[in-house]
Amino acid sequence: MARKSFKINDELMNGIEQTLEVTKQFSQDMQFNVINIGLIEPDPENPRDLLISKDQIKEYISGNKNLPLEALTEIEGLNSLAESIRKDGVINPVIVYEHKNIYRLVAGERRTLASLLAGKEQIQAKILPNKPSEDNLRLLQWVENIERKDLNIFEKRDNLFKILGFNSAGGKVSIKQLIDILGCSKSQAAIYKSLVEADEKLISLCKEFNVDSLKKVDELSRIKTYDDRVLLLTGRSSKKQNDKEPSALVVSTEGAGRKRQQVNFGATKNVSVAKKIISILKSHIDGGSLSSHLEVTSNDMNILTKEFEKLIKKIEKGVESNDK
Amino acid sequence: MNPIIVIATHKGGEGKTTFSSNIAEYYALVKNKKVLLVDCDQQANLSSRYLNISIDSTFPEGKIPSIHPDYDNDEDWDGISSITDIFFNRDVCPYPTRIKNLEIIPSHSQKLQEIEKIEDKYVNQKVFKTFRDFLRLPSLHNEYDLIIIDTPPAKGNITRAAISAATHLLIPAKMEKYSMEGIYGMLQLWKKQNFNRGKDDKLELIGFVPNMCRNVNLHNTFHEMLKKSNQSSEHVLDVMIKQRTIYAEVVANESDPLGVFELKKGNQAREEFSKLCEIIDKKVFGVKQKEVST
Repeated sequence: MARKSFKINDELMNGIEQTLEVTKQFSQDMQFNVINIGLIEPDPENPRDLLISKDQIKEYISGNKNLPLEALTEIEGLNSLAESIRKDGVINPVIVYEHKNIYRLVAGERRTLASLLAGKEQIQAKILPNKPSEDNLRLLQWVENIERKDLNIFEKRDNLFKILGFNSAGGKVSIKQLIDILGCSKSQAAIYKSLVEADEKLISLCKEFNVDSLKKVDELSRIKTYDDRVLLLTGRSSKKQNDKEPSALVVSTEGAGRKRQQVNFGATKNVSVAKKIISILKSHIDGGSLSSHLEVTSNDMNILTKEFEKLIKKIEKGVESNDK
Repeated sequence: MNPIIVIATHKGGEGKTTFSSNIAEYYALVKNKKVLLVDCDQQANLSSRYLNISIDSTFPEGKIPSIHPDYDNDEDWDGISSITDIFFNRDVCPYPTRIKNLEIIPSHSQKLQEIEKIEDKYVNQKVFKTFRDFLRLPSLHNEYDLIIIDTPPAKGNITRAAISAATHLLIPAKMEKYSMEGIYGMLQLWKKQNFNRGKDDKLELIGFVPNMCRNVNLHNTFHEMLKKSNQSSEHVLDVMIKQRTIYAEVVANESDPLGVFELKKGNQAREEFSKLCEIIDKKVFGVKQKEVST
């Protein structure tokens, strides 16, 4: 009789192997659990403190609304988060580390206070065995804070400096370094790089115009002159000018992609606008030689386009002869 | 804190109860350690080995422990104690057994079933915490050198509570297909525990013990596969407990002898089980053994 043969089903065997491996590899330093909010206290060294304490929140929900103005404002700010926690719970566990018999918050102050406001007594937490090193602390807080709307770009920049070890003078950083340290995508790293390397002029411009998005900072960093930067921010020239005439020029910028080979002057479907532009140009170009063509009479888009192209060529010739 | 070993697999009939009692008796009789057995199975098989277990008149499918020997008609007590007392605000009184070093907290079928029925997530957490807090009481660890928990063939609240309390997990398994699935299932609970526990508190996996083995291709092949696999090889214990009638015989009332470690030295069953217990001992208590003074 032939020998019967058997084996443990592959899927099952793999499942057993994988479970053993994953647990061995990851569970050592990982601990997720639900902890009492009562046992959480803020980290005394966290750069961001909300202007309200756990006790004040408890007062508030027990009916005593007689709190200082900053506290009440904070509560207002926390209300929408509290509402979503009431419905769906905390989506991302907060991060704490064990300190004697309590937990110190590494990241998640808003979530903790909002949970309290929502009437919860416990919160999901990732529990680190010790206080993370300075570097890791900043990094953890960075990762937590980057998506927060209430941290402004200057605070984010400061945090990045700390993570990278820069003093207030800042420094240069490569995209690869940022990807390695932050674990972000290439495009995100490019945006952070612009923030880190933004010079004083750009920073003060951002302060002046209340720039609040990292993407805007990135765009601005690619524009070289102050005037063009202001143009981007306001859609208007910084020089005092007839405000009713918005510029039809596209600002030339140093993009991250392939360098442009030419400047485009936009387009318009409005024939009157086209005629006006052409007339203005003609009247500003050293008079004389073009005066015979001062009037633009045609309404035909093809003819107007050709007129404009002729003008450009004339200007090019003029510029060339001036340069010689 | 002393070791708390949980013997678990959700597959029925794999040998949890047999292992619980045999390992407990090994430590009590051979190693002279004080052992506490905890019976969490509604079937109350483990309890009935050491105590007179009677049918619960109010719950015919269930069993209740006998009256505690220390009961002296105290008005505040009905004279029985079980592991479920911890959930109902009653004092727990372990029962002595015929073996000097061995005591047992028996099962109570109906109350265990009540606990199993709880579905509320919040209450579940409380069940696990209560169980764990009790089994880790310093007073308990002052009294006993080792605690062994027998669990039901299920993955419900009781098994989970036991796993959350334990320091070590042992999985008996036949070398057959459905049993492999039992191993897999238990490993998921083990994994989840370890992702919830602190660094110094992890649930150690003692391993899988090939049980009820016969010298057939099926059993040998499965055993070999586990021994050859990367990860499993570390956890499949290097002993095969064979299918032997003697294991069932010693459980029968009035059998002689009453346990595996009361068989003559040299007896195959006793030898192989001793080998298993020595392997477990190294893993749980480490290679350096404390000299136990008699």
